[in-house]
Amino acid sequence: MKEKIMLIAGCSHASGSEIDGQQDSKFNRQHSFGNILASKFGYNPINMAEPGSTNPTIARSILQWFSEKYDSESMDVFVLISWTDSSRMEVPWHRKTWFGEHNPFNDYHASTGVDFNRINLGWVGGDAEEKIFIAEYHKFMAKNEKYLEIVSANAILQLQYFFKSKDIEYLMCNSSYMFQPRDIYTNFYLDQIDNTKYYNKEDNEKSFYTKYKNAGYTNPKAKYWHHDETPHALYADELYNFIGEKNVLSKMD
Amino acid sequence: MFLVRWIKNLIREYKYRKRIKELRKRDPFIYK
Repeated sequence: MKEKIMLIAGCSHASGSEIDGQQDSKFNRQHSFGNILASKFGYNPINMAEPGSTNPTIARSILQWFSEKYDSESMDVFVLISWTDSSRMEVPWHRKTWFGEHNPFNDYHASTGVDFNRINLGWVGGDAEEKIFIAEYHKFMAKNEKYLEIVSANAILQLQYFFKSKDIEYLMCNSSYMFQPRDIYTNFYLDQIDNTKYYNKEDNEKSFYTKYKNAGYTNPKAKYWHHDETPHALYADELYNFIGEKNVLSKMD
Repeated sequence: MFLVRWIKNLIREYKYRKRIKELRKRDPFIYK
């Protein structure tokens, strides 16, 4: 009998960050929407989501997990990917970064991340060198939003075709803002993405963070606006229903 | 000519800074 595993990847939202007020904890992981979804299907969760992750981080980390851990003889793996804001970048950096150590409760950390800095607009850097380094990228991000959306679309397609090549079941969703309205630059890419395995691909208002923020949910324990248990449980229900509607898990029943 | 270029650059810089602030509202999360 193969072990049923749900591999959960994404940013802070998928890690359950700040549900209990802390950036990372066992409680947060257990109450994150991915882990709740895993328990609904009776899967063992491997929650490898990390605060600060970018979309290229997420894609690279999943590929590394499959490279190091996956055994098709003993595992039935379902992958849940929760994409993050498309403006974020992962860039080579001459100093070592320690995202794994900052997330002691993740079930897997992709070691290749140590040579990359994760650039998001909320963080301007620690010391002087990092501040100068990040400021240049922030300007790049503001100038090249469309380009970065195409980078995210390519990360999606990279995993989509990878999973198809290995006959792996998966579901994708968005934690936050992903795509601006379609245009000549993104039309082709977005058309290639399999909508039967992507929950609300192009509706930013229905992404996990935005939807429940706009619905008025607040987390008094959070310092940085992450949701608490209630939106996570509700979103797990949404994903559960979508999986049922689209028969996403038919092969694994 | 130089002044025109300088003003155009200034306007561009202002637009980028404004957009960074807008994007920061969209993705405000801070990590250390």
